Amino acid sequence: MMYIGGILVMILFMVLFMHDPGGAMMAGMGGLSPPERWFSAGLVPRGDGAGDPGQTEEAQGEGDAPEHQDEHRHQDDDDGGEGMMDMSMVTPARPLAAWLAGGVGLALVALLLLRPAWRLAPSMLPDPDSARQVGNLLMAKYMIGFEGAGFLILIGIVGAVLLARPSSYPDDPSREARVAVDAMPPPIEPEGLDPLSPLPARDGPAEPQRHSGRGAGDA
Amino acid sequence: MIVPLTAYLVVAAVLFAIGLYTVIAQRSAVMVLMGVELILNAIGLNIVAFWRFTAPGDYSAQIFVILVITIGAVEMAIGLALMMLLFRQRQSVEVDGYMELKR
Repeated sequence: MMYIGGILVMILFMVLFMHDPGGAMMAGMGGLSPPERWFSAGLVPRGDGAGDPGQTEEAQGEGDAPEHQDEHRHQDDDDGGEGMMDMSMVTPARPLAAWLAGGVGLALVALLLLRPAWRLAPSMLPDPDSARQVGNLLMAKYMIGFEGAGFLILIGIVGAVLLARPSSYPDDPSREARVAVDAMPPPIEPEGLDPLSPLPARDGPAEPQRHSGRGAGDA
Repeated sequence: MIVPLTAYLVVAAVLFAIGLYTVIAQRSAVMVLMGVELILNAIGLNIVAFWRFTAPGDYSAQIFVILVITIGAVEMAIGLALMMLLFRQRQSVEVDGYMELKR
């Protein structure tokens, strides 16, 4: 029953991806490498609906111009321009990743061809009392590992709560020290700046406002 | 009908490859964590398949899988907490935006 639910959720995700109206989730899918093109034959974002696979090649040809736009957006992101945010879901290393993952998968499957002759146990029905056996092992033989896992969960939960706790003082300096921030923000060039206009974003589109404010105070 | 051991191993290999692709190619840190979970589940599937087909009398493999799932859960909790912290700092969870340690 749980497996049926999981498979239904995956089908729901597929429907969500394929009915994505503006193609926003698939925005970075311009230049597909061949493994990805094989896996996503019907998912190439185009202007008019989902088509037959015969037109997919034309869609690939048309996809060149959006790809260039995408690269421009990446450059803008690096420059810190605050124009359009790059909304693509994947990194620029995506074709390499596709080849690598496909290769590793094929290698793992191919290793099955030259597997040793494992001595397979005779097929038997599952032991109905296996839960008792697992519990006995967990409490006797593997007790150190069990307790260690419990301790790890405790530490992990405490650490997660400490990291992510909501604070009534979000600007408290003790919370700022946990993530590396610029100790000395770059100085602001004074020419052409109206002091009443809001500061233009300099580095990173999403820097919190208080850092730039403090930088202005230091300068 | 008995599903052969090779079928389980092939499914686990495919899961591992999908997880590897997800970890490398996705920009969102949530998807990267999902890829790590996929890899862990592939390993768990391998362990259980080998237990069932080669040593069904010894239940140590199930305990190993339980520990792997536990550690995966802890890793997910810590990862999500770190992501919430980073999102509060810079309003984005895209992993290729975190370049501070490279400079």
